[in-house]
Amino acid sequence: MDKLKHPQKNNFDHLPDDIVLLIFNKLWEAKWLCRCSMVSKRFSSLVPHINNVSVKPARYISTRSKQKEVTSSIFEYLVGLKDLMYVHIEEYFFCEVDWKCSWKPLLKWKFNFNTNVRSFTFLMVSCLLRVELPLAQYEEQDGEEDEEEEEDGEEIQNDINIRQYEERYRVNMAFRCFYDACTKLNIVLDRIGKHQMLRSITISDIKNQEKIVVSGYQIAELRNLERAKLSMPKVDRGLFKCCHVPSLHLPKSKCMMVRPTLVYIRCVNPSCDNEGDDVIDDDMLAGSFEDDEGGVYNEAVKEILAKHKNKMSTTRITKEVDEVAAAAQNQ
Amino acid sequence: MASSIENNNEKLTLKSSDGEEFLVEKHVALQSTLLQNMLDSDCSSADVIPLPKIDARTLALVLGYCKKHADASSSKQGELNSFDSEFLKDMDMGALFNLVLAANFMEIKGLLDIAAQKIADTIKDKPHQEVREIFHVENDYTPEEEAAVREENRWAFEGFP
Repeated sequence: MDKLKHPQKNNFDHLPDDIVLLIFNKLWEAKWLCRCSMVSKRFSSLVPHINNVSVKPARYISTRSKQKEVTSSIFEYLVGLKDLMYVHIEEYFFCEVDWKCSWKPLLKWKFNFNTNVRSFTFLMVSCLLRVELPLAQYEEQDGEEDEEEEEDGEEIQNDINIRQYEERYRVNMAFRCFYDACTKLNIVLDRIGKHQMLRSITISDIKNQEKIVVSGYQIAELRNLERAKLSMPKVDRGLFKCCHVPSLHLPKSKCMMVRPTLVYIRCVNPSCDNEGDDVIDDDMLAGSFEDDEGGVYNEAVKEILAKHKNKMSTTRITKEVDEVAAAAQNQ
Repeated sequence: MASSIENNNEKLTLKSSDGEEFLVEKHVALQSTLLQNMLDSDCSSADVIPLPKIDARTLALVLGYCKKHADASSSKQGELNSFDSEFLKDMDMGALFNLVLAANFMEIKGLLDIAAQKIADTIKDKPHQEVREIFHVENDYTPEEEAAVREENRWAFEGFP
């Protein structure tokens, strides 16, 4: 009879609840927490008190309706975790089928949250070449390239057309990412924004290239806002800046970026008269990717600001631009 | 000269639950917030400090960890990280849990963190039945209750590998 019971001592019996919670807090992923609840009644009673959780996108789900069902179950689960402090939601921001090209371009974007300025930085690159040669040699080569281009008029025209299409496509994509991110943040805030312990919400893609971080006092501010006021597409004033550069040398990262596009979107709070100025925007832009690993993108933004500021266009967000973006979103 | 070295390397004696005594250099002992507070509050270092909750085998491990971390300079973070992962590798669950308790009692945050992480990593990627076996946790659910909890958390078993 004794053998049927566990002959060895339960390892967890000696651990006080706070230590078990410390261990559970290192599990992070919601599915492991869920499965943990299955182990025993004590586990199941402790799991609802965890502080950290991350949610990865559900894979291996065939139908869209099933996927929605799972997603809503996950959020239902998060609603029950009242002591949550740090939430990290990983998502596919674009399904593979959304890409018109067979390869995934290098892309990074980030949401900067603040009480009255909310901005969005988007950087997309055709390709990234690792270079070991001194910078001067590349600049020379660059010059030669320009001369060649001047020789063949027809090819230039083709090239310009393709580039213009690509540039438009990228701007649309930036807006689409922007709206996509806003929508996701709204959903998350709607469900768990009221959790009193909440300190930080991060929404990113699975590779952490694309990120929204909302933390500290920002959450407190957001909690006081009505959800409807948050929805970005309704913001009637704002501006976006856009810059296409043929190539960008990044000496610190020893890289060359081919055809980077930088898009910066800033919403102007309708209740605030001060629209901010260029200097603030530059500061915001320069700091966009600062706290991330992979200094390539960070360096690229700074290089563009330093050397290609003249190529940057600034547009007030008007209805038309909004519609363009909406169209991109609905494609 | 000799006396100044002695002063810098002041030692104290720790006594495990099973009566074994360990002579520890002060800077090593300072890795533990508990011992640090004791020393700050002027407990004479000549006294033997009893640690009634920690057995000799665990205490030896704890002190090994403290010594490594006290001696290494901050520039050797990489070396410390590989020491940490090597330190817990192949450790049996009983020893690991004792280590967690000791680190918690002696307030050694770094050790508590890596040991808790190790346990968390063991729980990950395993079905709950296996988790029960590894940690000797008794299943106190009735079959009906278990089915109900499973139903509640159904999503965690479906869309995820």
